[in-house]
Amino acid sequence: MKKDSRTEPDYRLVVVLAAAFVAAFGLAVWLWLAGRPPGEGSAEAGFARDMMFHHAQAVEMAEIVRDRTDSDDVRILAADIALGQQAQIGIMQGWLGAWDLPVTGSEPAMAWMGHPTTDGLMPGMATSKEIERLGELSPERADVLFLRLMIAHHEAAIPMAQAILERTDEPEVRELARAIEWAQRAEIGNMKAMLSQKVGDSAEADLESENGSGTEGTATLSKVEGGVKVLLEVSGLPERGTMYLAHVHPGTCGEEEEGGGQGHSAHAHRASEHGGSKEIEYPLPPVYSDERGEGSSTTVLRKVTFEGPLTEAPVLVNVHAPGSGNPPLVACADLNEAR
Amino acid sequence: MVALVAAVLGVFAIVLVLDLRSGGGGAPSGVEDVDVGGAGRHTEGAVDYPQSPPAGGEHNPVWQNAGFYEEPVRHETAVHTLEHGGVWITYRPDLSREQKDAIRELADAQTCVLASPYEGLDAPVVASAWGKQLRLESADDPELESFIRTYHQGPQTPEPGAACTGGTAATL
Repeated sequence: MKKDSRTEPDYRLVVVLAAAFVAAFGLAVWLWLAGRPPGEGSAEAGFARDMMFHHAQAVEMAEIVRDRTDSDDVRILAADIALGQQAQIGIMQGWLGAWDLPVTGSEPAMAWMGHPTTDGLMPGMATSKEIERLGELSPERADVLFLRLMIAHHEAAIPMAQAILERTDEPEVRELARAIEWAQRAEIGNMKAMLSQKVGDSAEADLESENGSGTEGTATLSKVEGGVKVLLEVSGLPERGTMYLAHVHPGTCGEEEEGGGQGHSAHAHRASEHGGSKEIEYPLPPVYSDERGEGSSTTVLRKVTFEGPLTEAPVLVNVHAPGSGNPPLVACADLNEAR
Repeated sequence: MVALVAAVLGVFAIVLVLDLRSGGGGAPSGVEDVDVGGAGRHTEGAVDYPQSPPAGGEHNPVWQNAGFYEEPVRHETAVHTLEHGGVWITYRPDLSREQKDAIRELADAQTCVLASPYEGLDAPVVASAWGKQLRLESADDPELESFIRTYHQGPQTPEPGAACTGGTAATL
């Protein structure tokens, strides 16, 4: 019997060895695949590139304000944001280097999240006009504009961090994305508290002359029961005894003037992306000019909170010359600069 | 055949052991997890922390610069440094000169290690990171270095990359 079994091939051993070989090969392939870094079209690469770009603007804004502010609390916040976000840019740049991928991708921003940014800015980004204003305004007004812009900026970064957490198992990416989600949420709360401390229950924005009209004034916003009271006080209106239309809508004053529909679409995009107030437009009672070319308008906007129109989409108050269609502006105020 | 399989398994085991040993060294033992939540809110006021010393939570908008301090520092600014990935070594004010020097050496060798005396500590030396705490009888305990290796700008950090300079160096 022993002799027989030795001459016959042992099929059982062959089957076991073959199975072991297949299993080992499968394991090797799996390990090879799992160990491969994220590729060019990966969500991880898209997240790193977009978040680096997003962070870079936060650093830019914080650096402007850190140099200009007279307020210690804004200076330390700006330093915290500038240094921390710059370091995180370095972390993400390091990933791309280690993954052997370029910093610049071939896909539009946010394509990895399923809604590419094809026109305008990524959600939460400030416009170049707003960045310019940070350097031009008085330090007190630049402080509040910075806080409002940075709140919107952080609010848009959170969905990006959440989107990558849904799409990746890379531990280093998960760690940073989770940190960004939590830290920015805490910082939004801190900035809202700073803002309400600086602004209080009432804020004023300057109505500045548009199209050489010489019209100036103030837009005063104040917290009232169930809404926000808007008071426009205007002087230097070009014509006497005339009705001037006024309304609040998204945008920043300079861009309106340049007549770029581009700036407008960027804003609408930003507002809707971060669940903001969409294409908001509040008509205000018209301003009637008296014999001295002065006038005012008061209204209470319902269903908005004091922080709503100020911290979500950037908004402006326009005062238009009389006429139908889209008559030229005579004055404009950026409500994000109100304090 | 059996010898061949055993040889393959043996090589596999050696590779595995070598791979594990190439890591950053063992985690310290005796570390307590403290539930302090994610990144904390800012407050100008004094905070009544549930732990002593605090290991996270609400804190001052200004962070305490890293380094060795001979005088106590504000808890609220030190907690902000923990949020930035810092390790805060608190020591009993009456600790010996040799022990303090050992701590100073550890603090000076890292970018975000903060050390300060702390009144009423329940151990001679307590090391804290965000949500992590280790009580030690001596600054020479190797677990202290191991704690720093594990948590200094470690995975528990709520704000990775944030600075530990440019805040305040004030003492109480």
